[in-house]
Amino acid sequence: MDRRRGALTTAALAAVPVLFVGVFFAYPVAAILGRGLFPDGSLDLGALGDVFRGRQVEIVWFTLQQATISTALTLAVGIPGAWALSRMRFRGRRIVRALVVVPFVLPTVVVAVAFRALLGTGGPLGSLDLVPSLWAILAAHVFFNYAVVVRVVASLWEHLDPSTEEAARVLGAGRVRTFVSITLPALAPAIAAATAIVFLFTFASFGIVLILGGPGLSTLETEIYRQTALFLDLRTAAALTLVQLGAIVALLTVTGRAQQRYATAQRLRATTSIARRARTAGERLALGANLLVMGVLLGAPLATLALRSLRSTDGALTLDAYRGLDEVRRGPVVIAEPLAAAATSIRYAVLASVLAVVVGGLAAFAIARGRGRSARMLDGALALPLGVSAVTVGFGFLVALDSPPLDLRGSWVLVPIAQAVVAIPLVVRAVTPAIRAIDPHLREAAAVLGAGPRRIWREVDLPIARRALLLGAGFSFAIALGEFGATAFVARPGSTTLPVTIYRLLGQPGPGNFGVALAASVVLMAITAVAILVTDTERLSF
Amino acid sequence: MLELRGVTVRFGAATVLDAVDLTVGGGEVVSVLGPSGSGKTTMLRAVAGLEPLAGGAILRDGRDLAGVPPHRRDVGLMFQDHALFPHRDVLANVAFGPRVRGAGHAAARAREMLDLVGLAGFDGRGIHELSGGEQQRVALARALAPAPSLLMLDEPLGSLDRELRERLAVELRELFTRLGLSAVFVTHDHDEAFAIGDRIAVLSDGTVEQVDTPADLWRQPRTELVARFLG
Repeated sequence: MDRRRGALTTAALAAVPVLFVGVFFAYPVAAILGRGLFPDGSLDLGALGDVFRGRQVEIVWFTLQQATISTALTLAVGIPGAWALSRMRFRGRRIVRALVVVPFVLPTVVVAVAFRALLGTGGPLGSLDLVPSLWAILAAHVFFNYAVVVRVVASLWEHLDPSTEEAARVLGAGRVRTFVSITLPALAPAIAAATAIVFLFTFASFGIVLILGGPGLSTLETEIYRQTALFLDLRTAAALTLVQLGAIVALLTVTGRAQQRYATAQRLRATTSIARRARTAGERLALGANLLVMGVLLGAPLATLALRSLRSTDGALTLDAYRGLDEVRRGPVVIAEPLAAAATSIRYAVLASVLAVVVGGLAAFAIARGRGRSARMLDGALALPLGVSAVTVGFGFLVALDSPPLDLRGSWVLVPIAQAVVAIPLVVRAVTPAIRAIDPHLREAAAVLGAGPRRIWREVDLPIARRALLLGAGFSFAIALGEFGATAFVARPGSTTLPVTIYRLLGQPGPGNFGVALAASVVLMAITAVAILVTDTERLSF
Repeated sequence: MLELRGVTVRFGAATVLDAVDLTVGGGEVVSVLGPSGSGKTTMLRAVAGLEPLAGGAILRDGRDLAGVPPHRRDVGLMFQDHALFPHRDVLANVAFGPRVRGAGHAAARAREMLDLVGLAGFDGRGIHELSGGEQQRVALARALAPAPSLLMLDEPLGSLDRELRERLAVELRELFTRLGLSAVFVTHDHDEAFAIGDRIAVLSDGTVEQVDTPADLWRQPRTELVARFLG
């Protein structure tokens, strides 16, 4: 095939995503840089300097600290879980494997509300007085990222050749010795990849810290939001964003390396699974303990959320909270009906997932067809929004898109666009491998049979990639539905989504508001669950 | 008529085809015989327009094909791995060519081809439900369906067992004769090459060692290499 024309087609495919990400990601980020470094048109490092003094330093430290502890805890709980799901065969294994992923796709606001219901005043563990506290944040982070560790580590572990372990045992190494000197090194690439991903997610965690940390505990993310929304101090917010950006670009570089080693390790694996039934009492105990942890860690918060949404303050069963879903709440701020917000959320999520699939899909085709540096650069550029926090996207929109040539201030379209920007990297990750996997002979066979390049795309590439595109659409929809970090900045009274409404309800004093927040969270969880059930969670990759 | 004049193909620094000359007349079947890695597949791909030439020219009825994209070359190519479309059933695979060329009655034409290769009634079957031999027949039917003026087959019988291969080689030869097709048949198996080809081109390391009728090739192998390869 004519090489030059191929390159031209690839460039044309890439044009839409490059333009979209350029306008709705790079330009806003550049605008933040401008605000932070050139507040009055000339270079001024004052605001950036202030970040490293006083309270701001504490925030940077706290951000790192909570991310480090969260990651360590998630690994401590998740690695045994990965063992149980990769090496042990038991009844219901498939269902457990699918259920374990559910928390990861739940909206952060729902997770935060569930932990508040569990650990906060009036909850089953309310007497511990853990909301707000670091402990509540850590618990929610472990809940949220457990799936990442289990899935990433298990997918390597289930294909490790057990004979090397058996050889070590025969040679006289004990169980612990064998695990430390044989198994752990073999799992290292997967553990490194999981560590990098979880650290990145918890470092940029927004909704959970905002709701469970209260005003006392701030990370970079929540502080950027507070400085913008409460204090209207855009200069400080921009400076904080710069620190956040720098940290995340550094983290992404490390993540990229870890991911690459992990991918190599995965290619080396055998194809047969080595899971077997528990044989010794010790194995049965370990398996039971892991299933118990999964049940309690993953089940308790969600069960509490559902149960408490059905109870009045005196403990009687009631649907009052759900009746409140179609009422306008008046307090210090007026909060629109949660049901109307739910309808808005669904509308925006549909729009966002269409945008994400079109833009992300085109990008995936360009990346899969392209060779060498330009394809890798496009891949990297499109992965950026995934790591660079949603808060950066939202704040960037606020700073950049409020003046000509792009004056979209207050426009509702910003909400689905922001959600799409957050979802695009996941679509690219879901679709690119599927396109790469298409046998090039199929395209050549179609060409020889008389199909032109566009026809081949339509008749070969598109139908084969359809499954992956639908998967991407499902994820995008779920992400957009629960998106909070970016939406919190750009939602306006007419364009409030359900997560934003739930957050507002939590901040509203007055009896019944928390109950309605619980009920609204259950509704949001249910809509997300339907979207995820339709999609195939088994194929989710990180 | 197909004519290769000094056709050269390079993959990076490696020369895969080195100044290959070959002519295939109207209604003639030429077997291309050579060990694996000798450039047989590359030669077919070059004729189909799937590999760019580093030198030389490929002519159809005197017209240079340079710059003509694969979908306008009017050749049929049967891939070694068949390359059947996994997302389409048997009928849709065979009907693909006539359909994208805008021919009417694509489905009828496809059924006719399936009949020809002995797979009548396989219309709605999925590709993965087929045996190796059945896949091979579908691939043949698909390559024949657009009625190309030249058919090229890349080790079409490679994956089948000995007995089936011998039987199918005879069937293929009869089919080519009946349809009056020009064909290039690539194989690494002498028996197949001799059973099918009007003439045989022996390819080695990207160069044509000898082109002759089976009888002449057998009687007087021109180089020691050819002699050794034929045993």
